[in-house]
Amino acid sequence: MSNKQQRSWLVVSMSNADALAQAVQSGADVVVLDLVEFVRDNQKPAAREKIRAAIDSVCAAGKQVFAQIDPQNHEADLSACAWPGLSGVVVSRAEVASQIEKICKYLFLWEKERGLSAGSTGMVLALETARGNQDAYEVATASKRVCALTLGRADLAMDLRPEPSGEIHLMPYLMERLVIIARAIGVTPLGAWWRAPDRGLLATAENTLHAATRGRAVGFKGSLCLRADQIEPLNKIYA
Amino acid sequence: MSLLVRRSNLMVSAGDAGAVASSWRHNADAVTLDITGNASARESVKASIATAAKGGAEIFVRVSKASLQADLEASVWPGLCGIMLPCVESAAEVSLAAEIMAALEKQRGIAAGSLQFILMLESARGVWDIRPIVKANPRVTQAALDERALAADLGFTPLPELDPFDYARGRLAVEATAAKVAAVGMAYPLSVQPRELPHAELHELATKAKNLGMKGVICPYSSWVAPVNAAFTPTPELVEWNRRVREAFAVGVAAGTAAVPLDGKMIDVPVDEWAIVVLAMAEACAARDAQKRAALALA
Repeated sequence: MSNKQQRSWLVVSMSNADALAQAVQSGADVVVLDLVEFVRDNQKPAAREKIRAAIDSVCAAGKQVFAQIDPQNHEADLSACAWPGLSGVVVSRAEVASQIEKICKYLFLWEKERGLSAGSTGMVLALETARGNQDAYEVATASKRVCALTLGRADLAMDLRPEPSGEIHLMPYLMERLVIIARAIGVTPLGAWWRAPDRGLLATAENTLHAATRGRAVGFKGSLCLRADQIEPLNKIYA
Repeated sequence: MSLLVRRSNLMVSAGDAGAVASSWRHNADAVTLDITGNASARESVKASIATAAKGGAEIFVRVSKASLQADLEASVWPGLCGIMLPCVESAAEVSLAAEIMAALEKQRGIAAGSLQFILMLESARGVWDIRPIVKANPRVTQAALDERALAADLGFTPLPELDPFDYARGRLAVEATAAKVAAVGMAYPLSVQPRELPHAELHELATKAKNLGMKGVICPYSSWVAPVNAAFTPTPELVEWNRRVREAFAVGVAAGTAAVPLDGKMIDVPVDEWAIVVLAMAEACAARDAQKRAALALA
Protein backbone atom coordinates (compact mmCIF):
# COMPACT_ATOMS: atom_id res chain seq x y z
CA MET A 1 0.00 0.00 0.00
CA SER A 2 1.27 3.41 -0.77
CA ASN A 3 1.73 5.85 2.08
CA LYS A 4 -0.77 8.72 1.73
CA GLN A 5 0.86 11.01 4.26
CA GLN A 6 2.70 14.05 2.99
CA ARG A 7 4.90 15.05 5.91
CA SER A 8 8.27 15.07 4.17
CA TRP A 9 8.90 16.03 0.56
CA LEU A 10 12.45 15.17 -0.47
CA VAL A 11 13.61 17.13 -3.50
CA VAL A 12 16.21 15.33 -5.66
CA SER A 13 17.94 16.50 -8.78
CA MET A 14 17.19 14.49 -11.92
CA SER A 15 20.84 14.87 -12.83
CA ASN A 16 22.12 13.22 -9.66
CA ALA A 17 21.74 9.42 -9.96
CA ASP A 18 23.17 8.70 -6.49
CA ALA A 19 20.78 11.10 -4.79
CA LEU A 20 17.90 9.53 -6.69
CA ALA A 21 18.87 6.03 -5.61
CA GLN A 22 19.10 7.26 -2.02
CA ALA A 23 15.70 8.95 -2.26
CA VAL A 24 14.08 5.73 -3.39
CA GLN A 25 15.42 4.03 -0.26
CA SER A 26 14.59 6.93 2.06
CA GLY A 27 11.69 7.36 4.48
CA ALA A 28 10.31 10.37 2.60
CA ASP A 29 6.55 10.40 2.09
CA VAL A 30 6.95 12.22 -1.19
CA VAL A 31 9.90 12.37 -3.57
CA VAL A 32 10.08 15.48 -5.74
CA LEU A 33 12.02 14.85 -8.94
CA ASP A 34 13.54 18.19 -9.81
CA LEU A 35 13.94 19.41 -13.38
CA VAL A 36 14.50 23.05 -12.45
CA GLU A 37 16.67 24.08 -9.54
CA PHE A 38 19.47 21.56 -9.57
CA VAL A 39 19.68 20.68 -13.26
CA ARG A 40 21.87 22.72 -15.54
CA ASP A 41 20.37 23.87 -18.82
CA ASN A 42 22.59 21.63 -20.91
CA GLN A 43 21.61 18.62 -18.78
CA LYS A 44 17.86 19.21 -18.97
CA PRO A 45 17.16 17.03 -22.04
CA ALA A 46 18.95 14.09 -20.42
CA ALA A 47 17.14 14.69 -17.11
CA ARG A 48 13.76 14.71 -18.87
CA GLU A 49 14.57 11.44 -20.61
CA LYS A 50 15.30 9.74 -17.30
CA ILE A 51 12.30 10.97 -15.35
CA ARG A 52 9.75 8.35 -16.48
CA ALA A 53 11.92 5.51 -15.18
CA ALA A 54 12.56 7.47 -11.98
CA ILE A 55 8.81 7.85 -11.43
CA ASP A 56 8.40 4.09 -11.75
CA SER A 57 11.17 3.30 -9.28
CA VAL A 58 9.89 5.78 -6.64
CA CYS A 59 6.35 4.44 -7.05
CA ALA A 60 7.58 0.88 -6.72
CA ALA A 61 9.08 1.87 -3.37
CA GLY A 62 5.61 2.94 -2.19
CA LYS A 63 6.17 6.67 -2.21
CA GLN A 64 4.31 9.48 -3.89
CA VAL A 65 6.13 11.20 -6.74
CA PHE A 66 5.96 14.81 -7.79
CA ALA A 67 8.02 16.49 -10.50
CA GLN A 68 9.31 20.02 -10.02
CA ILE A 69 8.75 21.86 -13.27
CA ASP A 70 9.71 25.22 -14.70
CA PRO A 71 6.78 27.36 -15.86
CA GLN A 72 9.11 28.83 -18.49
CA ASN A 73 9.64 25.33 -19.93
CA HIS A 74 6.37 23.73 -18.94
CA GLU A 75 5.64 22.02 -22.27
CA ALA A 76 8.91 20.11 -22.35
CA ASP A 77 8.84 19.38 -18.61
CA LEU A 78 5.23 18.18 -18.60
CA SER A 79 5.53 15.98 -21.65
CA ALA A 80 8.52 14.35 -19.94
CA CYS A 81 6.88 13.74 -16.57
CA ALA A 82 3.11 13.33 -17.07
CA TRP A 83 3.08 9.52 -16.86
CA PRO A 84 1.12 7.04 -14.80
CA GLY A 85 2.46 7.08 -11.24
CA LEU A 86 3.01 10.83 -11.07
CA SER A 87 0.93 12.33 -8.25
CA GLY A 88 1.52 15.89 -9.26
CA VAL A 89 3.85 18.71 -10.17
CA VAL A 90 5.58 21.33 -8.07
CA VAL A 91 5.46 24.57 -10.02
CA SER A 92 8.61 26.51 -9.37
CA ARG A 93 8.26 30.32 -9.17
CA ALA A 94 4.51 30.31 -9.62
CA GLU A 95 3.37 33.88 -9.92
CA VAL A 96 0.43 34.50 -12.24
CA ALA A 97 -2.92 32.78 -12.69
CA SER A 98 -2.53 32.54 -16.50
CA GLN A 99 0.64 30.48 -16.03
CA ILE A 100 -1.22 28.03 -13.78
CA GLU A 101 -4.15 27.82 -16.20
CA LYS A 102 -1.75 26.95 -19.03
CA ILE A 103 -0.07 24.21 -17.05
CA CYS A 104 -3.46 22.89 -15.99
CA LYS A 105 -4.68 22.70 -19.61
CA TYR A 106 -1.52 21.04 -20.77
CA LEU A 107 -1.89 18.43 -18.04
CA PHE A 108 -5.42 17.63 -19.30
CA LEU A 109 -3.97 16.93 -22.75
CA TRP A 110 -1.38 14.52 -21.43
CA GLU A 111 -3.82 12.90 -19.02
CA LYS A 112 -6.10 12.12 -21.97
CA GLU A 113 -3.29 10.98 -24.23
CA ARG A 114 -1.67 8.72 -21.64
CA GLY A 115 -4.75 7.20 -20.05
CA LEU A 116 -4.64 9.09 -16.76
CA SER A 117 -7.92 10.17 -15.20
CA ALA A 118 -8.70 13.77 -16.05
CA GLY A 119 -7.66 16.22 -13.37
CA SER A 120 -5.89 13.59 -11.28
CA THR A 121 -2.48 15.25 -11.46
CA GLY A 122 -2.08 17.65 -8.54
CA MET A 123 -0.21 20.92 -8.35
CA VAL A 124 1.92 22.35 -5.57
CA LEU A 125 2.73 26.01 -6.07
CA ALA A 126 6.08 27.38 -4.94
CA LEU A 127 5.45 31.10 -4.40
CA GLU A 128 8.99 32.32 -4.57
CA THR A 129 8.61 35.85 -5.91
CA ALA A 130 7.06 39.05 -4.60
CA ARG A 131 4.46 38.96 -7.36
CA GLY A 132 3.52 35.36 -6.65
CA ASN A 133 3.03 36.19 -2.99
CA GLN A 134 1.13 39.38 -3.67
CA ASP A 135 -1.38 37.53 -5.88
CA ALA A 136 -1.19 34.23 -3.99
CA TYR A 137 -4.93 33.85 -3.58
CA GLU A 138 -5.72 34.41 -7.27
CA VAL A 139 -2.80 32.24 -8.40
CA ALA A 140 -3.71 29.40 -6.08
CA THR A 141 -7.37 29.40 -7.10
CA ALA A 142 -6.53 29.37 -10.82
CA SER A 143 -6.78 25.57 -10.96
CA LYS A 144 -8.64 22.97 -8.91
CA ARG A 145 -5.51 20.84 -9.18
CA VAL A 146 -3.71 23.02 -6.61
CA CYS A 147 -3.37 20.93 -3.46
CA ALA A 148 -0.57 22.68 -1.57
CA LEU A 149 1.35 25.95 -1.31
CA THR A 150 4.94 26.57 -0.26
CA LEU A 151 7.32 29.51 -0.27
CA GLY A 152 9.99 27.36 -1.91
CA ARG A 153 13.15 29.37 -2.06
CA ALA A 154 11.58 32.80 -1.61
CA ASP A 155 14.40 33.79 0.72
CA LEU A 156 16.82 33.48 -2.18
CA ALA A 157 14.53 34.53 -5.01
CA MET A 158 13.43 37.63 -3.14
CA ASP A 159 16.85 38.41 -1.64
CA LEU A 160 15.47 38.53 1.89
CA ARG A 161 18.78 39.08 3.67
CA PRO A 162 19.50 36.73 6.54
CA GLU A 163 22.11 39.05 8.00
CA PRO A 164 22.76 40.21 10.62
CA SER A 165 20.16 38.82 13.04
CA GLY A 166 19.99 35.21 11.91
CA GLU A 167 16.30 35.59 11.13
CA ILE A 168 15.38 35.54 7.47
CA HIS A 169 13.65 38.90 7.37
CA LEU A 170 10.12 39.04 6.01
CA MET A 171 9.85 35.24 5.93
CA PRO A 172 7.69 35.07 9.10
CA TYR A 173 5.25 37.52 7.52
CA LEU A 174 5.15 35.55 4.26
CA MET A 175 4.80 32.24 6.10
CA GLU A 176 1.92 33.37 8.31
CA ARG A 177 0.18 34.90 5.31
CA LEU A 178 0.63 31.72 3.26
CA VAL A 179 -0.90 29.64 6.05
CA ILE A 180 -4.00 31.88 6.17
CA ILE A 181 -4.40 31.84 2.38
CA ALA A 182 -3.92 28.08 2.11
CA ARG A 183 -6.52 27.42 4.78
CA ALA A 184 -8.98 29.92 3.25
CA ILE A 185 -8.70 28.04 -0.05
CA GLY A 186 -8.60 24.59 1.52
CA VAL A 187 -5.12 23.50 0.41
CA THR A 188 -2.13 22.36 2.46
CA PRO A 189 0.53 24.85 3.59
CA LEU A 190 4.03 23.33 3.35
CA GLY A 191 7.08 24.76 5.06
CA ALA A 192 9.17 24.99 8.20
CA TRP A 193 10.48 27.83 10.33
CA TRP A 194 14.04 27.71 8.98
CA ARG A 195 16.53 30.20 10.35
CA ALA A 196 19.46 31.51 8.41
CA PRO A 197 21.79 29.91 7.58
CA ASP A 198 20.05 26.68 8.64
CA ARG A 199 17.85 26.12 5.67
CA GLY A 200 17.85 23.68 2.83
CA LEU A 201 21.08 21.83 2.36
CA LEU A 202 22.63 23.30 5.49
CA ALA A 203 20.10 22.32 8.12
CA THR A 204 21.17 19.48 10.36
CA ALA A 205 18.68 16.92 11.59
CA GLU A 206 18.53 18.73 14.93
CA ASN A 207 17.90 22.12 13.36
CA THR A 208 15.31 20.60 11.05
CA LEU A 209 13.51 19.24 14.10
CA HIS A 210 13.51 22.74 15.59
CA ALA A 211 12.33 24.33 12.32
CA ALA A 212 9.54 21.78 11.96
CA THR A 213 8.42 22.19 15.58
CA ARG A 214 8.04 25.90 15.04
CA GLY A 215 6.61 25.38 11.57
CA ARG A 216 3.90 23.13 12.94
CA ALA A 217 3.10 25.74 15.62
CA VAL A 218 2.29 28.34 12.96
CA GLY A 219 0.18 26.00 10.85
CA PHE A 220 2.41 24.16 8.37
CA LYS A 221 1.45 20.54 7.73
CA GLY A 222 4.60 19.19 6.11
CA SER A 223 7.76 20.48 4.47
CA LEU A 224 10.03 20.16 1.50
CA CYS A 225 13.61 19.21 2.28
CA LEU A 226 16.87 18.56 0.46
CA ARG A 227 18.76 16.05 2.58
CA ALA A 228 17.92 12.50 3.57
CA ASP A 229 18.72 13.18 7.25
CA GLN A 230 16.07 15.92 7.31
CA ILE A 231 13.29 13.39 6.61
CA GLU A 232 13.06 11.74 10.00
CA PRO A 233 12.56 14.97 11.98
CA LEU A 234 9.92 16.12 9.48
CA ASN A 235 8.06 12.81 9.70
CA LYS A 236 8.22 12.95 13.47
CA ILE A 237 6.95 16.50 13.89
CA TYR A 238 4.40 16.63 11.09
CA ALA A 239 2.88 13.30 12.09
CA MET B 1 -13.91 64.32 16.50
CA SER B 2 -16.03 61.47 17.81
CA LEU B 3 -14.04 58.91 19.73
CA LEU B 4 -15.22 55.49 20.77
CA VAL B 5 -14.16 54.74 24.35
CA ARG B 6 -14.65 51.02 24.79
CA ARG B 7 -11.40 50.00 26.41
CA SER B 8 -12.62 46.93 28.28
CA ASN B 9 -15.44 44.63 27.24
CA LEU B 10 -16.14 42.04 29.93
CA MET B 11 -17.46 38.69 28.72
CA VAL B 12 -20.07 37.18 31.02
CA SER B 13 -21.80 33.88 30.53
CA ALA B 14 -25.50 34.72 30.41
CA GLY B 15 -26.33 31.38 31.97
CA ASP B 16 -24.24 32.10 35.07
CA ALA B 17 -26.66 33.96 37.36
CA GLY B 18 -23.96 34.92 39.84
CA ALA B 19 -21.67 36.34 37.16
CA VAL B 20 -24.54 38.32 35.64
CA ALA B 21 -25.59 39.66 39.05
CA SER B 22 -22.10 41.06 39.71
CA SER B 23 -21.20 41.99 36.11
CA TRP B 24 -21.88 45.71 36.67
CA ARG B 25 -19.44 46.02 39.57
CA HIS B 26 -16.19 45.65 37.64
CA ASN B 27 -15.99 49.09 35.98
CA ALA B 28 -15.95 47.64 32.46
CA ASP B 29 -16.73 50.06 29.64
CA ALA B 30 -18.83 47.31 28.07
CA VAL B 31 -20.29 44.00 29.19
CA THR B 32 -21.09 41.24 26.71
CA LEU B 33 -23.63 38.63 27.79
CA ASP B 34 -22.74 35.38 26.08
CA ILE B 35 -25.82 33.35 25.18
CA THR B 36 -24.11 31.08 22.66
CA GLY B 37 -25.01 27.47 23.10
CA ASN B 38 -27.42 28.27 25.90
CA ALA B 39 -31.05 28.38 24.75
CA SER B 40 -32.37 28.88 28.29
CA ALA B 41 -30.28 32.06 28.68
CA ARG B 42 -32.46 33.65 25.98
CA GLU B 43 -35.34 33.91 28.44
CA SER B 44 -33.37 35.89 30.99
CA VAL B 45 -31.42 38.09 28.62
CA LYS B 46 -33.80 41.05 28.79
CA ALA B 47 -33.49 41.21 32.58
CA SER B 48 -29.75 40.56 32.45
CA ILE B 49 -29.25 43.57 30.15
CA ALA B 50 -30.73 45.84 32.82
CA THR B 51 -28.60 44.25 35.56
CA ALA B 52 -25.34 44.42 33.63
CA ALA B 53 -25.96 48.08 32.73
CA LYS B 54 -26.23 49.27 36.35
CA GLY B 55 -22.59 50.40 36.36
CA GLY B 56 -22.94 52.43 33.16
CA ALA B 57 -21.45 49.81 30.83
CA GLU B 58 -22.56 49.46 27.23
CA ILE B 59 -24.30 46.09 26.93
CA PHE B 60 -23.74 43.63 24.10
CA VAL B 61 -25.04 40.10 23.59
CA ARG B 62 -22.96 37.44 21.92
CA VAL B 63 -25.26 35.38 19.68
CA SER B 64 -24.83 32.19 17.66
CA LYS B 65 -24.74 32.04 13.92
CA ALA B 66 -26.77 28.84 14.04
CA SER B 67 -29.65 30.44 15.95
CA LEU B 68 -29.24 34.04 14.77
CA GLN B 69 -32.93 34.92 14.40
CA ALA B 70 -33.99 33.47 17.76
CA ASP B 71 -30.98 34.94 19.55
CA LEU B 72 -31.58 38.41 18.13
CA GLU B 73 -35.28 38.27 19.00
CA ALA B 74 -34.30 37.38 22.56
CA SER B 75 -31.68 40.12 22.80
CA VAL B 76 -32.79 43.23 20.96
CA TRP B 77 -34.43 45.31 23.68
CA PRO B 78 -34.12 48.93 24.75
CA GLY B 79 -30.92 49.28 26.78
CA LEU B 80 -28.91 47.06 24.46
CA CYS B 81 -25.94 48.72 22.74
CA GLY B 82 -25.33 45.98 20.19
CA ILE B 83 -24.54 42.44 19.21
CA MET B 84 -21.31 40.48 19.10
CA LEU B 85 -21.35 38.28 15.99
CA PRO B 86 -19.05 35.25 16.21
CA CYS B 87 -17.19 33.49 13.43
CA VAL B 88 -17.98 36.01 10.69
CA GLU B 89 -16.81 34.78 7.29
CA SER B 90 -18.59 37.01 4.79
CA ALA B 91 -20.13 40.44 4.31
CA ALA B 92 -23.44 38.69 3.53
CA GLU B 93 -23.63 37.33 7.08
CA VAL B 94 -23.24 40.83 8.48
CA SER B 95 -25.89 42.18 6.11
CA LEU B 96 -28.31 39.44 7.09
CA ALA B 97 -27.87 40.16 10.79
CA ALA B 98 -28.31 43.89 10.07
CA GLU B 99 -31.63 43.24 8.32
CA ILE B 100 -32.97 41.28 11.26
CA MET B 101 -31.76 44.01 13.63
CA ALA B 102 -33.48 46.72 11.58
CA ALA B 103 -36.80 44.89 11.73
CA LEU B 104 -36.49 44.35 15.48
CA GLU B 105 -35.51 47.98 16.10
CA LYS B 106 -38.66 49.09 14.33
CA GLN B 107 -40.87 46.58 16.11
CA ARG B 108 -39.53 47.40 19.56
CA GLY B 109 -39.26 51.16 19.43
CA ILE B 110 -35.48 51.37 19.22
CA ALA B 111 -33.93 54.16 17.11
CA ALA B 112 -33.32 52.85 13.59
CA GLY B 113 -29.70 51.89 12.99
CA SER B 114 -28.65 52.59 16.56
CA LEU B 115 -27.62 49.05 17.51
CA GLN B 116 -23.99 48.19 16.81
CA PHE B 117 -21.98 45.14 15.82
CA ILE B 118 -18.75 43.76 17.23
CA LEU B 119 -17.44 41.24 14.69
CA MET B 120 -15.38 38.21 15.71
CA LEU B 121 -13.10 36.69 13.07
CA GLU B 122 -12.31 33.09 13.92
CA SER B 123 -11.22 31.49 10.66
CA ALA B 124 -8.71 31.91 7.84
CA ARG B 125 -11.64 32.77 5.55
CA GLY B 126 -12.72 35.59 7.84
CA VAL B 127 -9.17 36.96 8.15
CA TRP B 128 -8.61 36.81 4.40
CA ASP B 129 -11.94 38.45 3.53
CA ILE B 130 -11.79 41.04 6.31
CA ARG B 131 -12.05 44.06 4.00
CA PRO B 132 -15.59 43.48 2.67
CA ILE B 133 -16.61 42.11 6.08
CA VAL B 134 -15.72 45.21 8.13
CA LYS B 135 -17.21 47.48 5.47
CA ALA B 136 -20.42 45.47 5.17
CA ASN B 137 -22.56 47.69 7.39
CA PRO B 138 -22.26 51.02 9.25
CA ARG B 139 -23.35 49.26 12.44
CA VAL B 140 -19.90 47.67 12.70
CA THR B 141 -17.91 49.57 15.34
CA GLN B 142 -15.35 46.99 16.46
CA ALA B 143 -13.68 43.89 15.04
CA ALA B 144 -11.52 41.30 16.77
CA LEU B 145 -9.76 38.01 16.18
CA ASP B 146 -10.68 35.02 18.29
CA GLU B 147 -7.15 33.66 18.16
CA ARG B 148 -7.91 30.44 19.98
CA ALA B 149 -10.59 29.60 17.43
CA LEU B 150 -8.32 30.72 14.59
CA ALA B 151 -5.55 28.37 15.73
CA ALA B 152 -8.12 25.56 15.85
CA ASP B 153 -9.30 26.45 12.34
CA LEU B 154 -5.71 26.32 11.10
CA GLY B 155 -5.20 23.06 12.96
CA PHE B 156 -2.30 23.76 15.26
CA THR B 157 -1.35 24.32 18.88
CA PRO B 158 0.67 27.53 19.22
CA LEU B 159 3.91 27.76 21.20
CA PRO B 160 3.91 30.50 23.86
CA GLU B 161 7.26 31.79 22.59
CA LEU B 162 6.28 31.99 18.91
CA ASP B 163 3.45 34.33 17.97
CA PRO B 164 1.76 32.82 14.87
CA PHE B 165 -0.60 35.75 14.32
CA ASP B 166 1.55 38.82 13.68
CA TYR B 167 0.21 38.83 10.17
CA ALA B 168 -3.45 38.20 11.02
CA ARG B 169 -3.40 40.79 13.81
CA GLY B 170 -1.61 43.30 11.61
CA ARG B 171 -4.17 42.71 8.88
CA LEU B 172 -6.96 43.31 11.39
CA ALA B 173 -5.36 46.56 12.60
CA VAL B 174 -4.83 47.95 9.10
CA GLU B 175 -8.09 46.86 7.51
CA ALA B 176 -10.31 47.75 10.46
CA THR B 177 -8.65 51.13 10.96
CA ALA B 178 -8.98 51.93 7.26
CA ALA B 179 -12.70 51.17 7.50
CA LYS B 180 -12.99 53.40 10.60
CA VAL B 181 -13.72 50.35 12.71
CA ALA B 182 -11.83 49.85 15.98
CA ALA B 183 -9.58 46.78 16.10
CA VAL B 184 -9.68 45.13 19.51
CA GLY B 185 -7.55 42.40 21.01
CA MET B 186 -4.97 41.40 23.61
CA ALA B 187 -1.26 40.83 23.00
CA TYR B 188 0.30 37.37 22.57
CA PRO B 189 0.28 34.86 24.23
CA LEU B 190 -2.77 35.90 26.26
CA SER B 191 -4.60 36.56 23.02
CA VAL B 192 -4.54 32.87 22.18
CA GLN B 193 -4.61 31.52 25.72
CA PRO B 194 -6.40 33.95 28.02
CA ARG B 195 -5.68 33.56 31.72
CA GLU B 196 -5.49 35.53 34.92
CA LEU B 197 -2.22 37.29 35.72
CA PRO B 198 -1.04 39.97 38.16
CA HIS B 199 -2.20 43.50 37.36
CA ALA B 200 1.24 44.72 36.24
CA GLU B 201 1.66 41.93 33.68
CA LEU B 202 -1.82 42.46 32.30
CA HIS B 203 -1.15 46.19 32.07
CA GLU B 204 2.06 45.53 30.14
CA LEU B 205 0.36 43.17 27.67
CA ALA B 206 -2.59 45.49 27.19
CA THR B 207 -0.15 48.33 26.50
CA LYS B 208 1.55 46.11 23.95
CA ALA B 209 -1.84 45.47 22.35
CA LYS B 210 -2.42 49.21 22.17
CA ASN B 211 0.95 49.63 20.47
CA LEU B 212 -0.13 46.99 17.92
CA GLY B 213 -3.06 49.19 16.90
CA MET B 214 -5.75 47.74 19.14
CA LYS B 215 -8.29 50.15 20.68
CA GLY B 216 -9.53 47.90 23.44
CA VAL B 217 -9.61 44.37 24.80
CA ILE B 218 -12.35 41.80 25.16
CA CYS B 219 -11.86 40.59 28.75
CA PRO B 220 -12.70 36.99 29.65
CA TYR B 221 -11.93 37.72 33.32
CA SER B 222 -13.05 40.64 35.47
CA SER B 223 -9.45 40.95 36.73
CA TRP B 224 -8.46 42.15 33.26
CA VAL B 225 -10.75 45.18 33.33
CA ALA B 226 -8.73 47.53 35.57
CA PRO B 227 -5.34 47.01 33.87
CA VAL B 228 -6.96 47.23 30.43
CA ASN B 229 -8.79 50.46 31.26
CA ALA B 230 -5.53 51.90 32.59
CA ALA B 231 -3.48 50.84 29.57
CA PHE B 232 -5.91 52.42 27.11
CA THR B 233 -6.30 55.68 29.05
CA PRO B 234 -3.67 58.36 28.39
CA THR B 235 -1.65 58.85 31.57
CA PRO B 236 -1.51 62.28 33.26
CA GLU B 237 2.17 62.51 32.21
CA LEU B 238 1.27 61.87 28.57
CA VAL B 239 -1.53 64.41 28.75
CA GLU B 240 0.76 67.02 30.31
CA TRP B 241 3.47 66.43 27.70
CA ASN B 242 0.98 66.75 24.85
CA ARG B 243 -0.43 69.99 26.29
CA ARG B 244 3.10 71.36 26.19
CA VAL B 245 3.52 70.04 22.63
CA ARG B 246 0.43 71.92 21.50
CA GLU B 247 1.55 75.13 23.24
CA ALA B 248 5.07 74.97 21.86
CA PHE B 249 3.82 74.20 18.37
CA ALA B 250 1.31 77.09 18.48
CA VAL B 251 4.09 79.46 19.55
CA GLY B 252 6.28 78.16 16.72
CA VAL B 253 3.56 78.56 14.12
CA ALA B 254 2.89 82.11 15.33
CA ALA B 255 6.60 82.82 14.91
CA GLY B 256 6.55 81.44 11.38
CA THR B 257 7.94 77.89 11.79
CA ALA B 258 6.25 74.47 11.78
CA ALA B 259 9.14 72.66 13.45
CA VAL B 260 9.86 73.50 17.09
CA PRO B 261 12.32 71.86 19.52
CA LEU B 262 10.90 70.83 22.92
CA ASP B 263 12.99 68.99 25.54
CA GLY B 264 15.27 67.72 22.80
CA LYS B 265 12.41 66.48 20.60
CA MET B 266 11.29 67.98 17.32
CA ILE B 267 7.65 69.04 17.29
CA ASP B 268 6.20 69.24 13.80
CA VAL B 269 2.78 68.81 12.19
CA PRO B 270 2.32 65.04 12.72
CA VAL B 271 3.46 65.33 16.36
CA ASP B 272 0.97 68.15 16.93
CA GLU B 273 -1.77 66.18 15.21
CA TRP B 274 -1.12 63.17 17.41
CA ALA B 275 -1.17 65.45 20.48
CA ILE B 276 -4.68 66.50 19.44
CA VAL B 277 -5.72 62.84 19.35
CA VAL B 278 -4.17 62.03 22.74
CA LEU B 279 -5.80 65.03 24.43
CA ALA B 280 -9.17 64.24 22.86
CA MET B 281 -8.86 60.62 23.95
CA ALA B 282 -7.96 61.67 27.51
CA GLU B 283 -11.01 63.90 27.61
CA ALA B 284 -13.27 61.20 26.18
CA CYS B 285 -11.97 58.66 28.71
CA ALA B 286 -12.55 61.11 31.57
CA ALA B 287 -16.10 61.76 30.34
CA ARG B 288 -16.77 58.02 30.05
CA ASP B 289 -15.41 57.41 33.55
CA ALA B 290 -17.63 60.20 34.92
CA GLN B 291 -20.66 58.60 33.25
CA LYS B 292 -19.89 55.27 34.84
CA ARG B 293 -19.38 56.87 38.27
CA ALA B 294 -22.73 58.63 37.96
CA ALA B 295 -24.44 55.36 37.06
CA LEU B 296 -22.80 53.59 40.00
CA ALA B 297 -23.94 56.32 42.39
CA LEU B 298 -27.53 55.60 41.39
CA ALA B 299 -27.20 51.83 41.46
